[in-house]
Amino acid sequence: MKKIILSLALIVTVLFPGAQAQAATATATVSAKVYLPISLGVVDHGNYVFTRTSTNPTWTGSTSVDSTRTVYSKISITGEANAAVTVTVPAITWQDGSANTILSTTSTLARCSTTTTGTYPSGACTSIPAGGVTNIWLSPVGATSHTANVVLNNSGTYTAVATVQVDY
Amino acid sequence: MKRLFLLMAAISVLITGIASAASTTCNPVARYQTPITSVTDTNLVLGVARTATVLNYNDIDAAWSLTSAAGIKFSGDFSTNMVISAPTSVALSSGTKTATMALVSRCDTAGYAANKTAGTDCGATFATGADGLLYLSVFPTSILLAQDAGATYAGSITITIDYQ
Repeated sequence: MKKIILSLALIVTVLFPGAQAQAATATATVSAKVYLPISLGVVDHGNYVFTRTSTNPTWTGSTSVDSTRTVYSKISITGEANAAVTVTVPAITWQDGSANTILSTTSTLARCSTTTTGTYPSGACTSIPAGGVTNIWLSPVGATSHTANVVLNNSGTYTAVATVQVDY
Repeated sequence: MKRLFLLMAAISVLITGIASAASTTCNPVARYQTPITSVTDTNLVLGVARTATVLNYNDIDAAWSLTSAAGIKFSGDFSTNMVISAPTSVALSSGTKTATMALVSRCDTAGYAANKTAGTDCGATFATGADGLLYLSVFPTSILLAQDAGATYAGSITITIDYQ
């Protein structure tokens, strides 16, 4: 009889487990971005030649930058070797050198290479290589066509400023 | 008939015994308390502008840049002591690279601590506020890299809280 009583008491205990289930846990993620600081430097100021194709005061020049450049804009990146990076480049706004009048805007193509000479590179700017240094090459061209459509109202020399941002 | 009375008496004794045993075992059930809930409002995000060959960084270093501390809000009974278990360090990794981060927890009933000296040390126990809320913040105080290499190190921490 005593065994029966104890067994039934155990069943009752299971049905009412007490208050230990009140405890709560919470989880938070922890992340630490630990990298060498990125430093950027200008290697070359670009010099792009657009061939005038119309005598109309407002005309459209279409040109292949690869065939008409004299110098590409190049910016060096020095930072953490083998680290992934995100390179953000703006569209380029061309202005009259004297009046700062906005004349045309072109999209910007950025490619990266460890070299600063030769033809326009094909590598995307997604990481810093093992040596810790690479170079961004900038072209005022479309993302896929390597062709820039610029609207200028006269022949002349136009300038533009491109601010490049690089993040780990 | 006599046998029937004896059997009924035996059943009566058995029922009495059951009730007695059950009553004694179930005494802890009298602890009625509001279930504790938690919300992770912010996760810990740290940035360190490291220097080559330097492996250890502290929160007083110029290279240290804390984006956000971990912030967890607990809700339970009003003005009730809680037993808090929070880690004092966390192991981080990025692929095969590893790091160890030291942590300090701060508690408050009004809101999240703004820095590692604000609020109050959570200690072994901390009481919820009059509204039943407890805000727990976790700040990093140092990070030690296992290797001379930068990376985005990641990990997680778990805080446990229970009624005292």
